[in-house]
Amino acid sequence: MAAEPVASTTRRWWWLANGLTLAALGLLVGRPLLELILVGADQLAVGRPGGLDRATAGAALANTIWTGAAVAAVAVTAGTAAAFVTERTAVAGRRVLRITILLPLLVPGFVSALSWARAYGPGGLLDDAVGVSMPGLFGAAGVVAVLAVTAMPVAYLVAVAALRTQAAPDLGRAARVSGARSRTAFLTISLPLLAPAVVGAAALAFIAAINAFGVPAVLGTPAGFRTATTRIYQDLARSAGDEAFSRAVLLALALVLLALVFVVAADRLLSRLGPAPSGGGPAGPVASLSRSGRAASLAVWVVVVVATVLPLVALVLSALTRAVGLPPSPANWTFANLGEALGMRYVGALGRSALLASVAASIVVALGAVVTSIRGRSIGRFSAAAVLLTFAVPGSTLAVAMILAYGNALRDTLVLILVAYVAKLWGVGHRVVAGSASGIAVDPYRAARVSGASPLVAVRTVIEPQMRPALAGAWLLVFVFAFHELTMSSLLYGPGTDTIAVAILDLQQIGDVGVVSALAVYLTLPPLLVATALLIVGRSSASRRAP
Amino acid sequence: MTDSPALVCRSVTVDYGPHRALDRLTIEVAAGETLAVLGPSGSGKTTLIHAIAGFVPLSDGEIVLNGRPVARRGMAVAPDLRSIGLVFQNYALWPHLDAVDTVAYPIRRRGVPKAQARSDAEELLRRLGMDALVRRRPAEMSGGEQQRVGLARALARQADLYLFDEPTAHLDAAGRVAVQEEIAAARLGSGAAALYSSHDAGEALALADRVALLRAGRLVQVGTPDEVYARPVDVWAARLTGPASLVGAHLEHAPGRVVTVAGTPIEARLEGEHDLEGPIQLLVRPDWVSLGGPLAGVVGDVRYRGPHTDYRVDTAGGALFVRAAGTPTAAVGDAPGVQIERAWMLRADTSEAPPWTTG
Amino acid sequence: MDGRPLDGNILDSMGATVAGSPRGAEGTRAAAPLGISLLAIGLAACGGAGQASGADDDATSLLVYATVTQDTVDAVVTGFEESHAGTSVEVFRAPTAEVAARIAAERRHGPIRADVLWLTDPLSIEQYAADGLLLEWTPSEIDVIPREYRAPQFFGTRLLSIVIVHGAALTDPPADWGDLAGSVAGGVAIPDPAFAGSAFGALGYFLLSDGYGIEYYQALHDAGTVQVSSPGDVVSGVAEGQYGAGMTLDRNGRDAVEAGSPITVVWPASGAIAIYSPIGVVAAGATATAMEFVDYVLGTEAQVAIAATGWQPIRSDVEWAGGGPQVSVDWAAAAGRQDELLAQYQAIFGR
Repeated sequence: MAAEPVASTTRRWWWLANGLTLAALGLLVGRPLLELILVGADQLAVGRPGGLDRATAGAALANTIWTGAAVAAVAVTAGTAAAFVTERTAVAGRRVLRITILLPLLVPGFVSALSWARAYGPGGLLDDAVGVSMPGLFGAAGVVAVLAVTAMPVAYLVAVAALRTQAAPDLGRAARVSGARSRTAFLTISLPLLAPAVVGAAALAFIAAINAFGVPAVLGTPAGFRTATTRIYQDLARSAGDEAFSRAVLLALALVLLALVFVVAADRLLSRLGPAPSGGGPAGPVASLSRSGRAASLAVWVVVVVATVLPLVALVLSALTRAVGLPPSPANWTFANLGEALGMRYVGALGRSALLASVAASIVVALGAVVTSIRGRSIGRFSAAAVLLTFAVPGSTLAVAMILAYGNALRDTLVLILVAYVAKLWGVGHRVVAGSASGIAVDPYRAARVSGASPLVAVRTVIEPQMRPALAGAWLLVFVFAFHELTMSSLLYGPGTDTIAVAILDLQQIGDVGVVSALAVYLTLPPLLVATALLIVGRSSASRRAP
Repeated sequence: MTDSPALVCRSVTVDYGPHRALDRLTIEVAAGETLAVLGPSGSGKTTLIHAIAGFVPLSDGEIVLNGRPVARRGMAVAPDLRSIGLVFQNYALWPHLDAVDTVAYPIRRRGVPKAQARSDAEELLRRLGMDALVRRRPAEMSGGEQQRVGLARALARQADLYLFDEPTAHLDAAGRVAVQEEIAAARLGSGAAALYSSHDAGEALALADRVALLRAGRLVQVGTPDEVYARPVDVWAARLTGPASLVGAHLEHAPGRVVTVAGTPIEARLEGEHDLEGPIQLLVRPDWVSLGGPLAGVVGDVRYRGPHTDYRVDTAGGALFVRAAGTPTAAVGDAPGVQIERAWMLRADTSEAPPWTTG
Repeated sequence: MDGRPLDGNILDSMGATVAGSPRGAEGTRAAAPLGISLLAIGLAACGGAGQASGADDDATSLLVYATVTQDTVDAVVTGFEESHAGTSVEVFRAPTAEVAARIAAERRHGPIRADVLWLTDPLSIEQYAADGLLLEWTPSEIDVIPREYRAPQFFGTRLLSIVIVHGAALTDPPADWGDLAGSVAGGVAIPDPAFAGSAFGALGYFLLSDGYGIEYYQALHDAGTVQVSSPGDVVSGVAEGQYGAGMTLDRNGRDAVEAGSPITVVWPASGAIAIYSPIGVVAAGATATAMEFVDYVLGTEAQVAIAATGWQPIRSDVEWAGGGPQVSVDWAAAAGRQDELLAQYQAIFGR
């Protein structure tokens, strides 16, 4: 809405903010990536890595690409279908369904992988109950399935937003009342209008999938199925050879090239599809369920329970089970695992994760606000776009680049991990803050100035209160991301600086099922319960408004 | 061709959970007739239209279109199979289609091949004077232009009944005028029936053959525009259908019928319900009263509007709004008195002072 | 033309969804974290940096890289710090592969940061000794260590036995190593020598012993043997019925049986493979505290603690129940051939 950046009143602030942004960009992303390119070129010039190693790198990259595509397809299909069911049909228990669909947002990827292994793997819940386990869970199929589960909530949110605006109910009604059957209206009106959103969601899911490390580490590596991220991890953190190191550098470069090319291409495509229209019309009562509608909503319920609820249940049961191999019946329950998971080492890791996440979130929100304040002018636009691209740089690549650029000075410190978090999550926080700022009217600010307030006071008393929900939301979002982060932490940690996610991964690789499950439960359930409670309370108070 | 009514609603009831949006609504629209449904926000106008169109199931009652039952509790004919056209409040144009494709859409659904449908659509747009809009997409059109395309789309359906869901609600003054003219012209041309919902009394009275007043899902009154304007069934209806002044008065039947306002007898054309007696209210429209007369009153406010001037005159019985052509002939503080020439008698009601309503 | 950046809508809606739900109280939260974290940045920087450089600056602090199990190393370190007032020991504990990668990464830039290396198998540490990374010296308790379990630069601290486990309900269970290459119902699992030091040790034994050699691994592979990461994974897999039998460490098997897992530990008829867990002092910048630590680990107090956590102590004068006939590896013959041995294995089982 506001074409003019609100806080651009003094030239001095503008130069300062711009300088800060460019300096941060350079330090956080520019220098590390530059270092990565230089070292990579150097290694290639010396002929490293050799042919065999290049072949395995190529295979890992190929795996990354096709699993990314598969995940995007599955997640977008499932998310769009779920959106139709919750937005356009009278499905039973809609509010609970919505919350359950969004649950995976709060569950870290590797915990999802662990919970699926405990639910559908050999010796898991399904195996104990009916003697069947999911074939291919450890391997490509499992990796794609669980990554799709983690990506689906975002695709769902995008589809819901699109159904409310681009493909608003009245547009569908206009088609019906113009003589189109239900299916025709869907194909000629709803689907084309959803296309930009679908493409956007697919792009996001793809990028998230190629970035993913935790899920392929837990489900892919044991079966020898390697993606670029787990290959990089193997080469850097599990191999002592120089060839392995070269391969990691090369893969890191290939990965970031892939991500950037894809982001640019998808962005071009999206901007060609046209802007979003406004005005949706009353959502009104939804159509009562036809036979196919009922089947679809049942299917969504089943998928959500199988994908999210059952695995979490299996995880909790694993945490309670006395020993590996015993069925999780109450006779075999113990609190020993939960107690061991509270040991000093883990509490320390938990504290470090919380600290890093808090600090990162605060810095990101502050930086986001700074960048938002300058985005009106051309250089500001460039900075904003560059900040966004940092989100597209895969975590593995960023970690490798950080090691190369700052490894000497900051090796094994918390600061190194913090810098990596800020670099990676800057784009996320900035987007949320900028999105909120664009909706803020300029006039209240002008009214404050005209009433005698200096720019700083006006911003503090008028702008900031309006933006507080968005700022808080951005802080929370970045906190959750950083708290659960595994990809970069696993490559950057050192003595005494392991985060909780790293501790769990390490433990999982040693194979202590009970304690791993207990730790995963501690990591996941509390924020999950709090968020669910908040959602329920928030929605019930909002829905009391008259229809 | 037949003289069965275009629309019959029998005891139509729609519930959203515990909330009853339409309550045993019974109404008919004759072939070729335009019925205006007038009511405030939330009265159920949109629900009624959605029920007739088939977007909302009935909890009870029956809807019959052109002699054919299309909706009952537990049964509903799909919207695309009902012979209706609908013009939406929010235009509901499809962002990815230009005007020609939008208007051609219903034509194509009849099975007409694409090329033929597009040329038919172009022809229709041309006939309606919308050549300039032919290749434009909604994002390139103003609100008024979008709504006119929406109207063309509905007309392309060649339906027996047209539904208008507050079509001018979101338009500015110019757009409103353009669309209203378009609708009036289309009405004359096609001879189809129409149901037009609005919260604007002036609009409803202008367009309709009959007007139905809707309040919280119930019909309050149905009649010709003149009937609902001059003979509203209660105070609420009176305020809904036009600018209204309500004056406390007293009616005595012996020796002859005498109506007094604060002691002053009123010599006027008085109509009302038959069994009124004692304290009553007089509905006086601004054009039924003139400045200068036996009823004492002081001018409290004067607003010159251009073609006419509105006055508020405070009398012992209440405030009277007077509309007189031309420039002001009295100023604030004058005490010219007023002459009530016509009034409609209503039961005494506990009502607050009417707001300053102007057209 | 200002093409909307890709993530605009999506992240906005995501953020809006997240921001939309926790209203009200969350609004004031923005200020508090900001203040706390500004304070915390300084702390984090100091703390993080201090931890890593502490080893160099302070002569009474120690950095140990260990692949020994967490509880064992924790018990020993606690005992050391208590009996040596004023010392603080920082431990980096990780699987063998990870410690090796860390050391290699550090060597690319300069000296190793650790003061002490405490590893699981002699083959891994042998390489560092050959490269001159470790200090050659004589601990005070040297005499309690049998000759075959020590070298001039590193010294055995405990003994690990590689044994066989199988599902408790398995009919016709394997009794010796050769049986694993036969048909075992449910298949066999072995740990990854590139990941777990103990598996590396086992590799050394089989490849250099008569009657086994590389053909043994080929036979295992042909019979459908699966490679998992660690000995713990073998136990989990067998307990859950994923595999019929496998190779693992005595302690892993024993702990699972005690907890109630439906598995049986079998001491191989020809003997369990004995691996010894070596400890060494890094030569560059070696401190007296480091040497005191090694002395402590070899002393009775620490050995008792090691036995209490389930590993066979190197000292024979410390009580140890359990065990059985063992075979040992010709470590001298294996020295210098680590890469070759691993390559032979990976040619069969992949990487």
